Amino acid sequence: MSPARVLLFACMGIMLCLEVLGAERKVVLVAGATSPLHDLDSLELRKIYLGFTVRRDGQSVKGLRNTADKDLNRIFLQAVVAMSEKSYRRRLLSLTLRQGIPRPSEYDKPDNLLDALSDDPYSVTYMWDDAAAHSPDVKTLRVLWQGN
Amino acid sequence: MATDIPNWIFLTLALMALFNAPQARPEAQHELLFFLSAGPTYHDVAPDDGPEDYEFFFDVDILYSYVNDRFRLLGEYIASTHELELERLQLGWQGGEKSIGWLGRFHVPSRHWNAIYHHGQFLQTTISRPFLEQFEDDGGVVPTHSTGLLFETAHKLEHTADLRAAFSFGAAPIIDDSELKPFDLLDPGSSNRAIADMRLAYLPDQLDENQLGLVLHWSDLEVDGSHTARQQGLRRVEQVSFGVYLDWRWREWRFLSSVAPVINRMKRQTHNQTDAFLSGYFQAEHEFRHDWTVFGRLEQTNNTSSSDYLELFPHSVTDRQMLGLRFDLAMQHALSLEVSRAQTPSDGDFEQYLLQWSAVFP
Repeated sequence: MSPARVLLFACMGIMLCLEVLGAERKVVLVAGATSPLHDLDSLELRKIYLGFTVRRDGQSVKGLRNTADKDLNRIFLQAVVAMSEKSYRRRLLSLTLRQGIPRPSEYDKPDNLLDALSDDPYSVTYMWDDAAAHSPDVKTLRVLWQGN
Repeated sequence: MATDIPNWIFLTLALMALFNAPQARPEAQHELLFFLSAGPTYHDVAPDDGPEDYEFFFDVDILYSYVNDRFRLLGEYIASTHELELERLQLGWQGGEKSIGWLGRFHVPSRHWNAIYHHGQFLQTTISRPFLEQFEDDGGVVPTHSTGLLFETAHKLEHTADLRAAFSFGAAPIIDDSELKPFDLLDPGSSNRAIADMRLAYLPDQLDENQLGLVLHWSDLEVDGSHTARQQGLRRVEQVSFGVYLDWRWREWRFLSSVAPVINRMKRQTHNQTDAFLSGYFQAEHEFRHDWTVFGRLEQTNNTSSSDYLELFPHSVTDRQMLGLRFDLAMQHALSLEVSRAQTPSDGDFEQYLLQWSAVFP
């Protein structure tokens, strides 16, 4: 192999690595594939995860928590509810204590989360966009966060 | 105040819900929470009938809630070294996104502290409660429980602000020996009269918890079993209280405050008489290094020595200067220490030291 070709492959390799390192990841809001939900703005989503009632077609929309991934959980706390884990946990406990509103269900196994989404068409959750793209059981409603 | 039968009813409800969960419809949700707290208490005086010089307390507060679309069930039962009591049992129906009506036994909306903390000791930064927020069986002189109807609603104002209102009407406690005794759902008495409460709160941000508000309370308290009341020739007390409160967070700070005059029309066999006292508190909390919170509270009540009504509750702490420290660990545990200079109408000043472990499961 000529030195020029070696140099070319090396440059291509470096560029590929930089591309992978610099790739943006996205967290998306999803619902079940057959869900009638199609629009939930940031305020409504925050309300859902803070225990307020948000209705579509007369049905209460439920938020399911995806706790399978620490990074995903951190992004949810920052981008959706804008609280620390401690504050959010207390807020939800307080809501149960005051109003009897149960905390959002937590799922640390993707299969269980997808089953729960399928069971209730008026439920939403969040996941990495590549996971959403590879799952035929969900549809993406919108991007919640993107970054490295 | 202690009842034995409700154990079975409450536990049966909770267990039914637990085992029925897998068959529940998708829209049905439920929650079972255990708030635990325990610790020693020490007072530097030991009056004959007053606070013990040394006590150890252990409380388990069991909270169960069930929501199915617009229907709600909420129950709270407390088991402790002092009492067994069904604190709340409410059936609710949500009319709109921001309105709900409740039927049952509940905490009156005019006491903001109780409306946010109830018996969830872990969520409350301090160990002790302010004078007017004390539960009836802990020396409370203003009713904190009612059995009847409660209506809560919210009205959106401009931008993000909310105006929230809560109204209730129901059966009032009676004046028993040295304490108020609320209406017991499972052992109803016939002498309970009426109670009405209201709270109006302004929240600049509906998704936040900062608020200031007005509260109004009226109750007709029948005397039944109080030796001191009989000596005074007292038949019943018509009580009116109105006040303002503030609950505000700013960065790492939180401020809680309330001021309320309490007017008591003492209806005696021979004549009627009115007495009044004014009570207020200011509490500041500062969180640092995320897990530590330092807090303090000043409470003061005037006319304590001239109030015939307060004579019925000689061991209630009416004044307090308190400092404390709380350490949160592992998200669901906390250790707290409180040092107070407290005062009751009959025991005078004394120092109080409280240490508490509190937690919530799951």
